[in-house]
Amino acid sequence: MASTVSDPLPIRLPLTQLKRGDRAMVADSSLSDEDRAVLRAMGLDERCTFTVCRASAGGPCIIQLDATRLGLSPDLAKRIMTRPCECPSADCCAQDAPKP
Amino acid sequence: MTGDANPVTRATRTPLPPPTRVAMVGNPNVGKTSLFNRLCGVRAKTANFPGSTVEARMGSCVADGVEMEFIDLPGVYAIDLELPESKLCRDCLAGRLAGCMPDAMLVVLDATNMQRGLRLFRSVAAGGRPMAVALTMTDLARGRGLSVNAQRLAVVLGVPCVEANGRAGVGIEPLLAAIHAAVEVPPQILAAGIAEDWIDQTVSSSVGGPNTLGADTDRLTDRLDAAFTHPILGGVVFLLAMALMFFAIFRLAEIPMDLIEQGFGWLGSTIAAVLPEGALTSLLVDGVIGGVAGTVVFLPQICLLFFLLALLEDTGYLARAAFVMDRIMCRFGLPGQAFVPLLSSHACALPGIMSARLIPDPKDRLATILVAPFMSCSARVGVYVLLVTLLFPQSGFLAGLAFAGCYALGAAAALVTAAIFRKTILRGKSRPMVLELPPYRLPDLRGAVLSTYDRAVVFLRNAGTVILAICVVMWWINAYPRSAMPVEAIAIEARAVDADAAGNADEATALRADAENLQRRVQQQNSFAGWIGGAVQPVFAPLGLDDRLTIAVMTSFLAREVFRSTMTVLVGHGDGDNDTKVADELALATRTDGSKLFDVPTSVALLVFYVLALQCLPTLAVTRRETGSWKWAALQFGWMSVVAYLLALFARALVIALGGGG
Repeated sequence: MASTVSDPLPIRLPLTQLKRGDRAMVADSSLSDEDRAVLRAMGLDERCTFTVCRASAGGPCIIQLDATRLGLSPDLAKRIMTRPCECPSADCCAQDAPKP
Repeated sequence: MTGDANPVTRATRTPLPPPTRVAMVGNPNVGKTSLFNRLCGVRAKTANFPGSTVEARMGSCVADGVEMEFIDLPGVYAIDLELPESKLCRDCLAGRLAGCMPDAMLVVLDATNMQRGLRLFRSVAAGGRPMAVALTMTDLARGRGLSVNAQRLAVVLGVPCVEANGRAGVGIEPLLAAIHAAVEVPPQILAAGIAEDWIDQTVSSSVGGPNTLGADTDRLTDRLDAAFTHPILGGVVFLLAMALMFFAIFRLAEIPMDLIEQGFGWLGSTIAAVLPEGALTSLLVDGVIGGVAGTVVFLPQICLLFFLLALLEDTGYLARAAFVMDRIMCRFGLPGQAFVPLLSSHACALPGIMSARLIPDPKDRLATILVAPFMSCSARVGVYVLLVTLLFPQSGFLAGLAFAGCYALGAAAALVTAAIFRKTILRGKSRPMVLELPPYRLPDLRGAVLSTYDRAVVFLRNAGTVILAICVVMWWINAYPRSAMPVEAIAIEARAVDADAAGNADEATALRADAENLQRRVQQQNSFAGWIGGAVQPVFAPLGLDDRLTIAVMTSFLAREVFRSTMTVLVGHGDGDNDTKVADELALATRTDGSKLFDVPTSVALLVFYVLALQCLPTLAVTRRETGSWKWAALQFGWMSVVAYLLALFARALVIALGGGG
């Protein structure tokens, strides 16, 4: 989850500030390489679009990416910066995502 | 990779070709273990590999005259992560696991989550081993509108690919045939460095449908998650689920536990009746049978706990529960998953410690194991009842309050200790709490039974080896050196004979019981355990313990429930079966200076000591087994003993300072 070169939308929010039903992509994070690798292996990287199932400012978050639901601790979620997606389809944002 | 796991069996039947070793690898929650259970059934065992803190299961089956040995590697998201389960997979792929290189890799792919599975496939393919793919969850994928085509996937991947469902037993034969084919004619393996686009293309070409890259909406899961992960409602649901589970464990386990106790009791009395009285009979009856019975009696609780946990985990609920509890547990340096082992320890610390395997992070798991015995187990209840009755003989309300306080004190000590350990000896970053919340589904009963069987075998193996040896040693220090019957007991026996001659059978029986009690008391005081008790009495004197109480405390390091029977022998004259009667007798017991033996400060100190001390040798043995080292068991014992002693001392001083007598 390194900083991206292209940035289709200027708005960046911590994952904990998204609302239920919001769609977003990972923009950046202040996680360690190890934690980043774990999240990437679980499918959460800059290429994926996810939907927020549960989020609260101080509490844990649940997101859905593809068919998988992930629960993230508040400490982890607040360090993940996201780029909210306005479009309803995952593909339109994914096209703007950086290629690994 | 046991190699010749069963050489005797193999030598006596028609020689088979060398077994084909197949390592199963896949993401978590893809149905890999269900598939393994279907392939191997009860012919499987859990294996801890040297140097590894994670475990894998190994089993075998015979297909078309060829034996196949399967190793069910732990679920991983990637094999290159710095996590114990990833390292185990890397070691397996490199042939470093038990020195055996697998003949083939069976990659289990979830049809509803192909991208992630294909990334893992790509990494495994880099190992250059023959491979086959089991495509699972195809029913769920089709239910979500995806069209799954295993043949097309096989062409793209260049390896045999079979749809399989371990729960329903579908696709097992074709899967075995595919593994055979993969081994005999190793297919062309794709290059490991293929780009991410290849994964998307592969998914699109083999899993078509309206939501090719996965289902976005699942209203039922949404609604259930909204309830189960809600900060308040989720907590209430969790408490209800746990209450039901532990009610079932306590209630349903009662009957088999009674049967086991009666069975061992019958066995002991039969052997005692058949063999001549002496050291061998005592060793067999009191040491071996008594010791093993004291551990095996917990087997029903352990089986029920693991069966219910397996069902809960299978439904997908347990991951949500861990998620909810993480908010509370993380304040003490523990993950949400630690709640279940700690709660389980209220039934018995043994299953509690064993269920800590649910916790993925090694440090979190170790911290949980170390503090689990602080939770008040059922074996403590008898001691609590006795001491609380001594403290509050007239007030049921205060007795109940004190009883609940014991549980609260144990739980508080566990959480505070966990926080201390995580900031000192187990310092370091925990694995970030990111949990996959698997889809809700009906539990797999067969898988739960097999998993329970596996745990029961591990527990019984431990009971039959380490715990048995410890019990024999403890019997020996209690039984030796042998004491001659004291003169007073001989005189009482003589009076019993006279009473018999006078036709007074009841009086004779009572006198014989008195003589036997006296003999046991002398034996206990003069045994090695008694000597140790006498030697350490000065250590316990600040808690108000005299030599008899010290012996009772020392002997209950074998198992804390021994306290009551030891005190009955050392102080009372009753049969020890009736709580009130025992409490009445102990309440009247006096010290050599005539003061009450169980005065308030001493009783409070004893109660605090029994709440916090680790007086259960089987627990230490299980800790050693689960942590792989006596070092942690020794730390657990030392820490709990010191905490118990210091807090008991503090409690006694506080009671005296508040005017509670001394």
